[in-house]
Amino acid sequence: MVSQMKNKEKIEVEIRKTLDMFEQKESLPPNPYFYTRVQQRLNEKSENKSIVAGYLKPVFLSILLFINVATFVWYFDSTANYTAADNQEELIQYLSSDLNLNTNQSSIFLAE
Amino acid sequence: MSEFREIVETYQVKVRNICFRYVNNVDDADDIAQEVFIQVFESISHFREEAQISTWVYRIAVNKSLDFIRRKNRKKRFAQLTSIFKAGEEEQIIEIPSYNTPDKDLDDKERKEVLDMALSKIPENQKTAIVLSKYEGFSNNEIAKIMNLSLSAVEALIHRAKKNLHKELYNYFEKN
Repeated sequence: MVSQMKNKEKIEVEIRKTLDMFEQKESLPPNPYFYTRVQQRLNEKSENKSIVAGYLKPVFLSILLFINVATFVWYFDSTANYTAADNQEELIQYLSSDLNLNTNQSSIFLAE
Repeated sequence: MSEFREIVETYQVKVRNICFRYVNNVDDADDIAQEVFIQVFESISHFREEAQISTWVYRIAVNKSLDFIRRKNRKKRFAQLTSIFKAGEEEQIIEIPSYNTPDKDLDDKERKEVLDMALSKIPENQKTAIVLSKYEGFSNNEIAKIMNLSLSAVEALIHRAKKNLHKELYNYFEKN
């Protein structure tokens, strides 16, 4: 019992000494090159941003061009069917299939 | 730019020290501190004038330091997981000083390591409160502004932090 108490007291002494280390706080000294390093990183960051933007712009424009050309080709390809239609019936057929209309709905193309 | 330089020169010591309290490594602390000021630079336009700039800068420092530790812990957990599948690779063991002779005093360096170990085991917000209070000498009011908490919340955190530190240290010294 006595030895247990003594042990507890010793532990408490160690704990107190350890917590006292808060008072011995070591501080980092000022770094004279710190601002230079921050500036460097900021410059690197903005350089990276412009490199990415430099690549993205032509890629984006290419995609836009492709979409325009594809739409142009598709449009003329589909209207070719209309001009190739020999008669009104065929024309209605082409229009209906393009617009996904059933037979009843196709009658809207007929003049009243 | 000169205004920004003034901010960096004014707060760099405190910011680097706050970061150092969390990571205990000068290079890592410097890296994190640089990121703090990069964020300050990028978000200065969003800074609300009614808050103190120092409070805002220190809050960023605390958050960045905590993010760093969380990333490091995630990597550690992932490494532990992958090490199961890697045979023959040596695990890096971080040794905490232990002393078998009750009469032998730990030297200051070892004692600091024990304190850091105990700090790493208490909840983040308690650690933040006690680090800012004990190491950086902030008043409870200042800590409340940095952590965006009420004064009573900060006082409660510091009280719980001391209690938990005591518990961790007791367990450590009992085993050793």
